[in-house]
Amino acid sequence: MDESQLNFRKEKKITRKQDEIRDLFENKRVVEVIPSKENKQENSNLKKRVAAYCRVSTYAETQSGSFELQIQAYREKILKHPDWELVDIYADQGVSGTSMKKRDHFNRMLADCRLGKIDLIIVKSISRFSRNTLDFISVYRELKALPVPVGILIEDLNLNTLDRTSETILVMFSIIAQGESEQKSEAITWSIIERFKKGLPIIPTHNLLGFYKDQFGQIQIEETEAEVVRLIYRNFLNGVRAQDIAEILMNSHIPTAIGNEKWNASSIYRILRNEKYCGDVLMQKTFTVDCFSHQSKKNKGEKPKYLLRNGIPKIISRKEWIKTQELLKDPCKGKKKKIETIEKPKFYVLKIKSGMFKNFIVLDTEWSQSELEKIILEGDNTND
Amino acid sequence: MTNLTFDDYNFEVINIENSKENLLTINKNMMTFDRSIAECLKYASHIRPLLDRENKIFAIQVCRSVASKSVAFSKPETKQKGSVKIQAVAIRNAVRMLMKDLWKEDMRYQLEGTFIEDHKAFIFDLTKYKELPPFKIERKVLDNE
Repeated sequence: MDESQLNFRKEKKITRKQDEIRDLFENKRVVEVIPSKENKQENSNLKKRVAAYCRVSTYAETQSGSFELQIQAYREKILKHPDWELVDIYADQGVSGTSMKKRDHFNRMLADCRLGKIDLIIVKSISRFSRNTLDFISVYRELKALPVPVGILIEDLNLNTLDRTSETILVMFSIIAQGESEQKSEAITWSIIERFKKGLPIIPTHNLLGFYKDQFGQIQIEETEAEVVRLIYRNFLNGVRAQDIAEILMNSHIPTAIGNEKWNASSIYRILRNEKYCGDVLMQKTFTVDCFSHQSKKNKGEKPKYLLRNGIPKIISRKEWIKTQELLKDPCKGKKKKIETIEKPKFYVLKIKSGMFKNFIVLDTEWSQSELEKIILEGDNTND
Repeated sequence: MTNLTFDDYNFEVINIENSKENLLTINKNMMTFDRSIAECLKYASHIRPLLDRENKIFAIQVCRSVASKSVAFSKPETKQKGSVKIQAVAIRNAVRMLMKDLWKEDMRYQLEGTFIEDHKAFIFDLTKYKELPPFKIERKVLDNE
């Protein structure tokens, strides 16, 4: 069969198909339409079950105002809408939008969606919902694919994710939201590094034994805890193993910096290796891999480190500290084991060092009446 | 399923929920925390009692049982029937000692707590108290006497 014959056959087929369609339009057939169940449900007078999601990433005064405003505005908006029924206002405060891990209310909302309790979620902007493109797409596709599809109404774009044409726009805006977050993270990292270069360290003291911050944010020595640090160094220099030091502390019921009574060898080693005890501050000992995983990694030379000598008050002399570091490299070189024990100070008052309960004392059920009188009535002098 | 319309019946709405007053009562021999406090703290087994001497604020914060100076608090939800009672003399005495200029020795005191959800804690402003009469055991007067 040559090419011209083949082309003729194809054309004939097309013409037959065209004839059929023409015939269908000229001689109409009777077709009954059975309406879909979904349409039926939509037409019924059932109210839409609506939830709202709000999020702010810090507890800052300005943001807390915005947070409360979002909650109240949504509550009012949903309650006033005649076709809507309020399910709940889900709100996370002080959490980042770059991951879904710590957003308890967000995850509770998703669980409620999976249980079919919600038809529509209202959110102020895409960045409030998620600053992670991958998370956003996976969540919104999952919600769309549920037996009762859940839409996300993004207010500033006036866009419902259940609209068929929305995907491209949504992906674009979610990339922008992610980009904003990456930029912000980069800017913060830059400012921190610049601070480091100028010798302005960031030293959290809530888990740092021996130090606390005063009302001006200056690092000061907490004398009771500093005595524990000195004991650890002295014993180690006398040839006592880290494990044994941990046991001495546990037997004396001396708490760790965060208030636990369990000590282990690794926490003793961390104290022995910490340069802050001889007054130095080494900056960027760890770094955050990216703003999405928030994973902190030990800096083994991937990034520069910054050392500030004599930046804070010292608890251990430099001589002792250098000796300790040498001994840590080769523990066998230590002297013979000579254990020095510590007696728990008579009025050991554990004080909260940071956060909301800063300067609160932890009450001890074993305090006697005379101890109580000294601690409660004489105040802060008890530790000195 | 039948379509039940509540309007067709004369139902009376009654509230069976716990009153959420979050009260702490400092009695002669113990401290009593309302069950609503335990509920907010998710029936935590241990707490740490905290005291701000300067501002006269007492607080309890959820902690692990291994934490230093932890105090046993609530039983699990199904077993904690009523209020939570703590009989630690030192804690009660510490609070009373701090308030000795304002509180009378033989009276009981009631404080309303504020729940700090993010810190899993309750704070009680000791200066905002309600004085209650002393707890007395009424003795039955026998006819013979």
